[in-house]
Amino acid sequence: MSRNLLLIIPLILFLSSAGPTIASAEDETPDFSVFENPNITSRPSRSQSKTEAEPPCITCGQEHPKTKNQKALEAITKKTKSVDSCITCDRVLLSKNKTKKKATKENAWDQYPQIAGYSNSAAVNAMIKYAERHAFRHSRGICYRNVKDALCRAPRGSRCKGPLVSKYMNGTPVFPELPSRQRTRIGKNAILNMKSEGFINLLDKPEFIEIIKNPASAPKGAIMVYQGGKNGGHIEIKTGYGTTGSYVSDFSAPDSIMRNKLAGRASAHYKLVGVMIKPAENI
Amino acid sequence: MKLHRLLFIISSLFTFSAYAAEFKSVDEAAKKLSAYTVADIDGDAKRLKENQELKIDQMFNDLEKTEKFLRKNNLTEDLAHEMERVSLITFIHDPTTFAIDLILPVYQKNRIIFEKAAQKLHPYDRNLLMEILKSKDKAETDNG
Repeated sequence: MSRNLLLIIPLILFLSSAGPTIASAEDETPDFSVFENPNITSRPSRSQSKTEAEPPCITCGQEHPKTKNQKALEAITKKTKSVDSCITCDRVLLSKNKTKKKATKENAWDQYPQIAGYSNSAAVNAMIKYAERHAFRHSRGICYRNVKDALCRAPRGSRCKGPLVSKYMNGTPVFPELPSRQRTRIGKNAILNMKSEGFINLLDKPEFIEIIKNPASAPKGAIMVYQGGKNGGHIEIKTGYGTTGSYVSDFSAPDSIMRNKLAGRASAHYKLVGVMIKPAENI
Repeated sequence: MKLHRLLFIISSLFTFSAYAAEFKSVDEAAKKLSAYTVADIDGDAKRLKENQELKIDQMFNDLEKTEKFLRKNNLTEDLAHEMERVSLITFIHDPTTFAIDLILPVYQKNRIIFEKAAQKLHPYDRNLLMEILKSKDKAETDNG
């Protein structure tokens, strides 16, 4: 018993000195003045937040360093300010509207079944469609190549084995034997090339010379061959009767190369020397 | 009547000499070319009706004269830019791009200057011009 007392007394003494006193509600009323009501006190402002203690911002008042995107954007706006305004955007060739007279459809060719048969054949229509699809708005100096391609690819998928030509015609420029700027001159001229494929030149026949007074009076689908110019001649396909169609080579134009008067001396040096068609019986 | 004839002959002589005169400096050529605008080409339809000389022909003549001048002189970026700009103006009425045939020898000798000068053009014009220049340059040597 005495041993138990000896153990309990020091334990009680220890608890009474070091342990917290357990206060009861009756002991004393709490002093709320030291506490802050969280509902009443406002949230600390940013300046009063933790960062207040951090060193002051050096670059905040100054211009921020530009990001990569901002720099690129500024470079583009600077560049666009210094470039010229667009010259050729959305420009329609004036010759199309201003100088073109009322479209006429000449039916003089209906009385010649060989020519009318050629003009209305599926192969010729396919050739015209191909040429129109591959024409630019402005010449690239490859008129002969585009016409050869169109002859070769008509009808679609024929790969130079169609009714118009039996092989890809060799030769460049249109008239390799005449003086021109082109350095490479090979093969026969376009008229001889086409004649070897069964085409005929309507200008060789006296009965047609009277009908073909100008390119507009040539039949639909005729391959028009011109001498002159700096690049050894020009070649183009007529896509309609009379003035209804256009003239297509590596570019498409409402007037033939020698009839576009607004182009000044650019069209003045050409002479029509070939109006090539393939008689319907050979197609 | 005789006086009228004399005046006509003198004026035509002056006109011919002005036409035939070559450029004496790069600045002179650049100044002449820089005077052409899109409005000039728009007025050609009216000039054609009135049988007046077309501005497009004047542009072709000046481009040709510039090309001749540059056979013995060096091309500057400003002059290249003016040549490109005037060529583009002629494209509005001339789909055959005859102006490029005139300036092609200059381009073949000064490709880098031409490409730098083209940076000042609108992107659409630049692409069109460079595409035609490159294509015509290639067509000269190709066996199409």
